[in-house]
Amino acid sequence: MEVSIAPVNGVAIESEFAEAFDMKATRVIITGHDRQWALDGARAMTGFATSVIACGIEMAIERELSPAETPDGRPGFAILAFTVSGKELEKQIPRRIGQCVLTCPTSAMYAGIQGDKSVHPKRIPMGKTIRYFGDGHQISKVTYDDAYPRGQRFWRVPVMDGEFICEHDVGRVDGIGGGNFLLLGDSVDAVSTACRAAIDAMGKLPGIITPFPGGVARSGSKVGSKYPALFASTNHAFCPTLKNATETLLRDDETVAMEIVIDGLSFDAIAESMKVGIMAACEVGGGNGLLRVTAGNYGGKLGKHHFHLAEVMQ
Amino acid sequence: MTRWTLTRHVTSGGGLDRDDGPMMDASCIDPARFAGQSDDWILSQPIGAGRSGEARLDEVRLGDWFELQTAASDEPGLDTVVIRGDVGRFSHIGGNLASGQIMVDGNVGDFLGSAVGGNRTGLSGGRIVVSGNAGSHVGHRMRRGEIWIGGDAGDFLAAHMVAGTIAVAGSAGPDLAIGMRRGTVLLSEMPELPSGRFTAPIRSRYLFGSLISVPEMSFFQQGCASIDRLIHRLCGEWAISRRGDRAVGGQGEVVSGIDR
Repeated sequence: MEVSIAPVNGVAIESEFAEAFDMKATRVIITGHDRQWALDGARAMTGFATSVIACGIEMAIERELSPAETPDGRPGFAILAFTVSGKELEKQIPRRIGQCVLTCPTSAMYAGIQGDKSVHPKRIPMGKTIRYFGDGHQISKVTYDDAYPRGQRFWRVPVMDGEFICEHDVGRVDGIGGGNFLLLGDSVDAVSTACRAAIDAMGKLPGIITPFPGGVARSGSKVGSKYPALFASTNHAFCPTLKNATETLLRDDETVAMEIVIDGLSFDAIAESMKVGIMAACEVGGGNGLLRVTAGNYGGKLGKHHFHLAEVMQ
Repeated sequence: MTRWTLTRHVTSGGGLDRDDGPMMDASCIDPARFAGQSDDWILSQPIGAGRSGEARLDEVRLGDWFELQTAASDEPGLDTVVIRGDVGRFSHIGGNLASGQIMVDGNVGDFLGSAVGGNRTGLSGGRIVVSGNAGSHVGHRMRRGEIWIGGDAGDFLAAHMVAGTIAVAGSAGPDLAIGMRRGTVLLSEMPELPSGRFTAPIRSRYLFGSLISVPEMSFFQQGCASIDRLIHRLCGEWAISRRGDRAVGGQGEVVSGIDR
């Protein structure tokens, strides 16, 4: 049923829904001797992690942490990670720690999902596998407190600048991937500006990431392809250069579309971020070339989580 | 979480608690052992029944020496035994501890957290905190867990230690960490250690110090500022560490802070 949504700052909000699906998720924390090393490690770990389609994992920095918020009192970053299966998460996280964090000077790696096996029985290995780099010189330490009455295990692996401290494992939780909205406008500048305003506003929210470059994807996809080997291909209905060649969803004055894709730890976190992002985009883009906001779906057949813009924007 | 508070009687029978009296095996004090038991059952546990106890006091019960208060709550946390009063003549406290914690508000005797009788290992998990001094052979063959001592420790501290952490805010006696395989001994000052058994001192940042969860001091009537000072020193810019006991192929570490 078509529901009319009031325009925001003159920008039309289409009565569409974003279609999202279940994912497996976790959060890790990387710290460093200073902010730059922590950021270097976080950027390396979250590199090539835009889409599960070919990266195997979707990761991004969730937020920066002050020294007071990190386990070792140093500057740090929280990173969220999403995969389509627990097995893939178990493969990707240790691999990325080993190549991107262990190698990063002064870094340390901690669990960002609090609670031991009694709280989160499904665990993703971290130091549990990385410890073997220590060649027998690694040290295991267990600390105790009320939150971890059975102990919280860390590994200390000797490296060339001292020790790499890495927590034994981290809890796995359920997540949702594929929340999205599309911004359509009359120029690259207009849509870029609106996207950046949305990403800036969404970046302040906990529990979500936007893993694409700058938080934005320009290569929205549809299910299927004329080539049998591919299961996704360009979403031609939103490609401006195909406007007169194929069936299009772009209106006459819309020349650019960009999509913000959101992974989150809960339905509510994604819904809230969509609202905040759309509001921020419209605030900046209304009257400046941002013409319409819509959302991407596959007719409701791909995922069970539906974010109707009419409900999100309430 | 359950908290059992054992308070020493002002006087106890038989004069066994005199300063030169026999050391009594109190390895029966264990939160896991107490869990689910009645107060009467706990107070009926024998003291000195351990095979390594110097006294054979099979007929002496916990209730002969202590009063017991039990407080249970639904709050998450560690099951805790609090011992109030001087237990300097009681040995092997925490020798069987695998989880939970034992907080001693006073001095404690020998073999704290050490292997009991013919057991291969002593403390294997959980935490023991002593606000005062401890006797000899603290942490002998301990395998896991933590021991915190606010005062001094006697000789053979951490001897044949397999793993875990021992922190002593005061001084440690001779023959520290002899036969140590792995594990950590944290001290305020680096003592003399035999160079054949331990590596030369290394100065480095001890980042793990910032991850150590300092025990809850509110169990102690006077607090325990010395332990806070110890951790403060270890979390400084630099610490000194030595590895050993190399005579047994050990990779344990003895760590001390440096004045800021």
